[in-house]
Amino acid sequence: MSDAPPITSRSATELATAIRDGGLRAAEVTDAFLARIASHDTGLGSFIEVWGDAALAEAEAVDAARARGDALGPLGGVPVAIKDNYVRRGFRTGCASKILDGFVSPYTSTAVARLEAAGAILLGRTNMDEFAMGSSTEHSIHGATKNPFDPARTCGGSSGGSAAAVAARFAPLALGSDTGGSVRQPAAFCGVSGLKPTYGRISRFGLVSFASSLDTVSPFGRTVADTALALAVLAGMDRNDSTSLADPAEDYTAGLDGSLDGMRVGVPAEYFGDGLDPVVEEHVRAAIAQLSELGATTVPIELPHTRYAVPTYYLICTSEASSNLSRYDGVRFGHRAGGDQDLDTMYSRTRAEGFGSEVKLRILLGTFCLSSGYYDAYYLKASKVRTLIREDFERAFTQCDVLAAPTSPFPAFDLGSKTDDPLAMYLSDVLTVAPSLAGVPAISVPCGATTDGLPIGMQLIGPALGEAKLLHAAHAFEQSTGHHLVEPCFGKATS
Amino acid sequence: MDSDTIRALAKLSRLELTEAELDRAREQLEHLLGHFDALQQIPTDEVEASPYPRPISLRMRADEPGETLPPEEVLQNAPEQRAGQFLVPRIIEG
Repeated sequence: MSDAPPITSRSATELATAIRDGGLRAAEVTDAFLARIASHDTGLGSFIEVWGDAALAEAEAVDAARARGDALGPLGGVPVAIKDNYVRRGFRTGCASKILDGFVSPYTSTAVARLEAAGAILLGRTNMDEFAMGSSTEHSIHGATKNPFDPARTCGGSSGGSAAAVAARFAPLALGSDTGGSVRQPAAFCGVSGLKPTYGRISRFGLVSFASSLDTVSPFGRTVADTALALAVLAGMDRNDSTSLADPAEDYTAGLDGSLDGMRVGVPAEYFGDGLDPVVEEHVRAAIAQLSELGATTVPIELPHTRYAVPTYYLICTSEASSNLSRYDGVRFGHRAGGDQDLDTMYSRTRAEGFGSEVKLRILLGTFCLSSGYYDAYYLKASKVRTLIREDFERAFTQCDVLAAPTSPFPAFDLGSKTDDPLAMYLSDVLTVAPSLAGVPAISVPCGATTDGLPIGMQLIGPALGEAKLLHAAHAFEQSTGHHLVEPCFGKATS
Repeated sequence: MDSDTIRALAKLSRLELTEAELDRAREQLEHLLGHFDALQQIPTDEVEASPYPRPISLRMRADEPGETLPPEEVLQNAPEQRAGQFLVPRIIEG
């Protein structure tokens, strides 16, 4: 019997190396993950659809390419799970909504195309809050995804399926999308790494739009190095997304090692205020002390507009959503209400039948913010406060290199505990929405657990295009602790 | 928010809602807007709005024809189609 760790417990970086060196075949790696999904996902519900046959065929193609002597891409043979809001030619995308019923995409998103070009094996699409609107993956037509560390609790959201899949060892990497925390918060709840890059660092082409000035393509990994590997594959300008940045992408895996000597870590007072669970505070403060042990110096920082971030975020994201979601009208794709009716009734009935309650509420709120007589007081006001929030960060980064804070004010909450109270759900995003409004990168890394074993995440926030610095700090912290190695108690990896 | 306002919003949003749904939405929006009104206390007369996180300049590309999707592939997702076109309920009587 081999002493090697089970395939499904290995990192993406280790798997890519083993496949490249011939120690593992891509097909056996894909087989191992598919078998684990088949035996364990019924109780979690992280996948909406598994692309088993296609994945195995892709893996065999990677093995054939290697046998021919072709060089493999950086993710050659590495399985990746995809959130249900990325399109892929010939495959279904549903955004966990009835309104996209039956939609098969005629084109592929840039993020998925880059993963394919890097040799990744796409395992299937993962569950999410409908149209990425939620913080718990409960607002899904497919039902809630459960937390692998405690099935009575939420896995976070909106990219909860992808976070749970990585935590449960169903995939070493996964794509999520982060608009106001939708990758960082589920990463914190599920004990994995989740990186929201600088706005525009990765093309949004083919990511179904929720709030176009906030949406970011964002990867999950079980290690910071894996997250960096995914970013290196995904980053870069794209002519199909005019908001993608022209600044050249970097090799984000190159600068991970080394001490933190000279790094200034800012500690924003506003992120340690009322409502922060004392257990979360204790672990995050211990993590910041660990960064100091590694050579960093800490600097107290003020981000005075933080308290306005949740209202600002929700006024802007719902305004943009109300416009973006007007395309779902029952004409070109998806669900259409039946019956003999005029055009306007068809639109209204289709949308009433197709959207869930949270999406409807956000469309109504966004329509209100943009409507005549209210625009200046709501959308325009929020857009101005957004400037003040961005300026807070710009000032902070003249005094420090990265900021360290909790990702979420509390660990994973009970399923059903916030679904009837939208404001309570929105307030759970209080620590993640400000970096989104400012467009700066941020990563959540595991930094401990409650006495019940629920993971806690530390959020590191960097200046625009400061991903390399951010990943360096996160990697140094992770490697000096063992928090990222803790597996959920349900079904330890055996294959 | 009165009942006429929520009805107008539902109409603008093209959402056919029941009376119970309208009532619930009105209560929820009132609750949310009450919280969000905290923004009104911040002076912003001298502040520029940020429609994007950072200033973005429009990037022009050469006006060259590229590949487009074949119409039959685009139409494959249509709930109803006829003769290469999307079909909608009749809008002109005759």
